[in-house]
Amino acid sequence: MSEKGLNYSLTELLGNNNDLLVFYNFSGLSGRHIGIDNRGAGSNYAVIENCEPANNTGIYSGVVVGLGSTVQVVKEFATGEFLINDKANLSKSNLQITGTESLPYSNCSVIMDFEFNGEVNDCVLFGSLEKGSTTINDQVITGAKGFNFGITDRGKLFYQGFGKDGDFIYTSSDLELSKRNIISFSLGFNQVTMCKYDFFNQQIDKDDFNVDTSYIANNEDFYIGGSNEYFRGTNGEFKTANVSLNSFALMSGYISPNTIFGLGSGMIGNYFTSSESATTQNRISGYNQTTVYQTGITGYDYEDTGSLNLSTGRYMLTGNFSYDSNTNTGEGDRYFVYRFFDVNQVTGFVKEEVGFLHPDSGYQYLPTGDTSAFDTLGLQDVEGAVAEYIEERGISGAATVSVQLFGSRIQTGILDKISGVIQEPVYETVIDTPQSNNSGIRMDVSGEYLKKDYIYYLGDRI
Amino acid sequence: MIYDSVIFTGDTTISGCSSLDLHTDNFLLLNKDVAGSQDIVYYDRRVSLEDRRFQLSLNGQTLTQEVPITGLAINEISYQINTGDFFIKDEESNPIDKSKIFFDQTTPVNASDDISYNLVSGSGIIVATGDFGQSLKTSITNGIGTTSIAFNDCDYFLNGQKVYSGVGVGVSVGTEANFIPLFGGAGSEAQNVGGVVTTNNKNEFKYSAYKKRFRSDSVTGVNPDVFGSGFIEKRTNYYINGVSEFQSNYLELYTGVSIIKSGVNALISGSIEGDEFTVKTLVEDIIL
Repeated sequence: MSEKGLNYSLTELLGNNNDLLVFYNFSGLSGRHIGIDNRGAGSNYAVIENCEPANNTGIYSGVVVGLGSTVQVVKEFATGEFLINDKANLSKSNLQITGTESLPYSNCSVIMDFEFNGEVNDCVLFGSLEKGSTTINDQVITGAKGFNFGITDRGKLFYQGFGKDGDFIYTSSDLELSKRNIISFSLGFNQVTMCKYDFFNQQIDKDDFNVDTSYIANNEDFYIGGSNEYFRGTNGEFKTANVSLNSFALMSGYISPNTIFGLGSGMIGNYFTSSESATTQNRISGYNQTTVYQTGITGYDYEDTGSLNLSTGRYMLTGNFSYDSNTNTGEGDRYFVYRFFDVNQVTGFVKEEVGFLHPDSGYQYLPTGDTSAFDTLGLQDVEGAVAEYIEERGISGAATVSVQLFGSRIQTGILDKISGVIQEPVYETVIDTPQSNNSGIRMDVSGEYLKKDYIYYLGDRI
Repeated sequence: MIYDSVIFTGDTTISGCSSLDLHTDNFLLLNKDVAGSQDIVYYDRRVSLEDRRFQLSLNGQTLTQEVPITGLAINEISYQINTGDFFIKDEESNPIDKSKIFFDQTTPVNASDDISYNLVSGSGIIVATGDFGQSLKTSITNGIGTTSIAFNDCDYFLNGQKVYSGVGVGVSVGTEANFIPLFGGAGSEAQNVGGVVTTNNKNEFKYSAYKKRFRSDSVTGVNPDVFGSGFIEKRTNYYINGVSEFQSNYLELYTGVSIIKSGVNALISGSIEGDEFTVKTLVEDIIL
């Protein structure tokens, strides 16, 4: 039950709260400020203030008429006895709505959330009926103001009024009440509609009756829990109802049952708000295209690879001999012997071919008498080293020419031929689900008292 | 007399009583009236659930639905049911036939009959015949499963009359998953469990079992009224001696209502004409 819930439903269904004249939400009232209506010395009464989202909370306060006393006493009575368990216990006191003479009696609607305290007895849930008589030309003319709306002993809703033909009562035979009930009463367009709202089956149980609303006059006394005109008492402060109120709303105009169904859910349900963060996603918004050119040989250049020294002139014999190496030569073998001499500072030589005689043989040669040459000369089969000489060579007109050497090198790069196109997607972040602030009514409140708990078989009784 | 109230308890919260997640969105599915005339009967296809299973009451007798066997011939489809009492056609038929209830030839239906039905989608309808109940157990096993169901999880009907443990139906091999429902009576081959089925008449009976619906309770006893158990209005079934009663035969109330008088009209319709209640005193001078 919440004021915010009703406000939400009003906004959703009617667009504004202009038609909500009275709203009493008794949840949490025992801990809230209780007003005082001072009607004289020692005659103070506790006041339940008209709550938001009523259009004007400054008027239509509800006076707890069950006890008039000092301020302290009536406050203790209001918070300690009348307001119990977040409900207004009408068995302790009726509630008089003030300033009701301007209420549109013949065109109004009431929504009530109430529950029985125990056994069901007949009662006036809210009433304003008041009859009066005037004598004109010795003829008694009876008239009335307001109406009563209540419950019969059988637990049926009734509407009591006074029309051109006198008193009448309409009783709704189709509606069966539970321990807790959300009911409505809509009056207007010559019709009275009584409804009980079944939030389990999402149904509206209703009864319609025709009334002549032109005969419904305004009254300054409007009571919740009693009436000035009821068979059990003729004072609106007389307590008739053994019920407890969770909330009460009085609205201007005939409000249709379907609309009240939504308003009723706002009265009993829990208002909630929730915020959902925005979600984003990356979306391809286009493509970046890049032309790719072929690469290859674009040319050549030359690089220094070194140098080469070239000798000029020509080779020639110098006329000099020089030792080259030793060579073993057998005795008797021929070899060249060089002898050098200087003539006019020029070294000359002679070369003579001689046979080799080994110095270790002592130069004593004895022929053997045989016929071969060695035997004849008496040479020994020995070897000895002899020096060999070579003729030196030289370059005539010698000089060196240095030559720089170059090698070719491939130059690579981008050609002017297109090899392809690279296409890269371009992403942009877009809002997938925008941030949302949600609100609504959750019916996650206890429904136990809204259920029935009694099956009564008619067969044996009819 | 055995009075039996089937009540749907729902959830503790208001929203929980019409919750798809909690399987409590079963409003407006019970005690629905059929439409039609003579022996042509239509159900409300708009609110029927996908599998279109019914628990149909004909003058209080609960008839058993069977999914028909269809055969295709030239320009026509033939339908056949074996054990059930009625069937409905599906998408293969024309729009009118799809909303029509077809009764078995042995099921007499006429215009004066009271016919109502519950939509029991998902609850399972099991039917068997020809023995003392053993085949019903086989059908339950095949239809629902062995481990997930116990004896008390089903409602049992014998030729359309609801029967109760010890009164019409009994059980052997325990009441848990291995249970076997039996309908045998005195002189039957099977254990006498308070039923009426015997060896000689067993072929005359048809047993059916319905899996009890979610979040529902049965209150059975010799007292007609039920107190104290909270239930959701309009989601009830009521049986007397196993015969289904119309919802108009009982009231769903708050226990605080203690005064119920018979023969008193609660509705005062219309206003009272003032002239009819005018009391006039006529004064006459009488000369003697």
